[in-house]
Amino acid sequence: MTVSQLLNQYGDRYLQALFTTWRLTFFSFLGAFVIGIVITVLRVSPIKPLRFFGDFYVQIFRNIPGAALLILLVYALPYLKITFPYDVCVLIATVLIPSAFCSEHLMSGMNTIHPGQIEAARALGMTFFQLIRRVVIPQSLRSAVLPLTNLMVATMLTTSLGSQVPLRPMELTGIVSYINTRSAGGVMAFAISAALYCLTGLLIGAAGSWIDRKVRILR
Amino acid sequence: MTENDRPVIELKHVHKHFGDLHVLNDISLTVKKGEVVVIIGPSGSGKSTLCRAVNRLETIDSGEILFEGEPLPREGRKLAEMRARIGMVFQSFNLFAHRTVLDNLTIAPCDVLKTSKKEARQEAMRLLERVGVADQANKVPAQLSGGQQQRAAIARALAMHPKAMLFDEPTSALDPEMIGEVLNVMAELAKDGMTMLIVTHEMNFARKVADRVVFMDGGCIVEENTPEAFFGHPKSQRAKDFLSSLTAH
Repeated sequence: MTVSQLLNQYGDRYLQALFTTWRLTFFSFLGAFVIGIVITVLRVSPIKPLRFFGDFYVQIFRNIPGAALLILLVYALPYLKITFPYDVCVLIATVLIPSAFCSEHLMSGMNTIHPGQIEAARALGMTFFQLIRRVVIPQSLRSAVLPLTNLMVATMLTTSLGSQVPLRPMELTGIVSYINTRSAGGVMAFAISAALYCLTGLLIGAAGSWIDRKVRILR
Repeated sequence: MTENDRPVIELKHVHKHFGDLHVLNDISLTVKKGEVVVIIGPSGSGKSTLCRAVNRLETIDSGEILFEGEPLPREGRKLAEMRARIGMVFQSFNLFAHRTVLDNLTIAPCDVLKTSKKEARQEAMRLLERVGVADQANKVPAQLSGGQQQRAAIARALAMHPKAMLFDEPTSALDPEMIGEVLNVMAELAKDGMTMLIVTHEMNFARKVADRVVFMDGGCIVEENTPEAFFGHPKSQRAKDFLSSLTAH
């Protein structure tokens, strides 16, 4: 089939799939971002077990393949009498893995903070949480915009895990299998999804660069 | 004991080691209310460590440090509350790079002292005026000269209404032409009766502003005297050598 035939016949479905991918990407990244910040705070906290937990969390979810995690969530958890809907399983997988990377990016952003500023905050009588909230997290976030942009693109690509379970509505990768089981879409069916992934990635990249320019810290 | 004889900062037999280096060796020192004590000595003599130990940015191995008669808490909220009463100025300014100069002065009063935002800003502007950088209030630190940054850092410490101020080589990172503007601000503070502990290499400043000069070498306090007596007639050979090395070239 040609691209125009595919778009004629499945244009609506592609559009729906694009929005599904966008929605998954948005919520996955949001979740990963929030959890990433919390884990990072744990990793620098004065309490040793919390630091250990934070490091452990990152090691686990940084080193587990997305597909393996999804399989565990979908097929193993029900044995423990925990059954999530498919879309929740996909979301959990695409939150947990990027959250570990998010924390790593924030840790490296933290390294850009001059230690003297931490001492200054302490000397002013700020508590750990005040120091974290006012000095450490804002600066590490602002120094990590570009890596976090990459992470958002990677998160978007990770949402293709959704094609491995019966997700409704389907996202951009799932839609290809759907089409190819009905018509001989062949490689063109993939190409359309690939183009839509690329487009999304470019948009994320542009937004990231813009934010980076706005918030970059003058040193 | 009158109000003015009350010690604000008190160190009793303080020891600290960095590995094999005995960086603070039986240090006892008292700074009374309104007093300006200047610590001088060669690099590596332990003077910065002493200054930083007073608000526990450096821990100590043994001995006791008291602030306004109370021992320094070891950690946590209590320590933070104590630190809030001690102003500190660093060699490298250490202004928060991501916030404006004005924000640098309001963050801690708002967070720690729970001052209202409006009140904190008014106070901040008043202090910036006092140190002469009010026109830079809305810039970020990197847009200021070193001297301006250091004056803003002094104002930031003052915004907490500290009972004493610690200065850890406040002019050592500055270009020569900016040293004067910072020392002037410090001299003003001293004149207004601020209790100050100052580590510096500025001998003329020490001579003019200090009530007492403490000479350290090898982790020990070698000599402690009025500036006239110390600079006029240093007693120890080490102090003599140190002072002559400053004028040798």
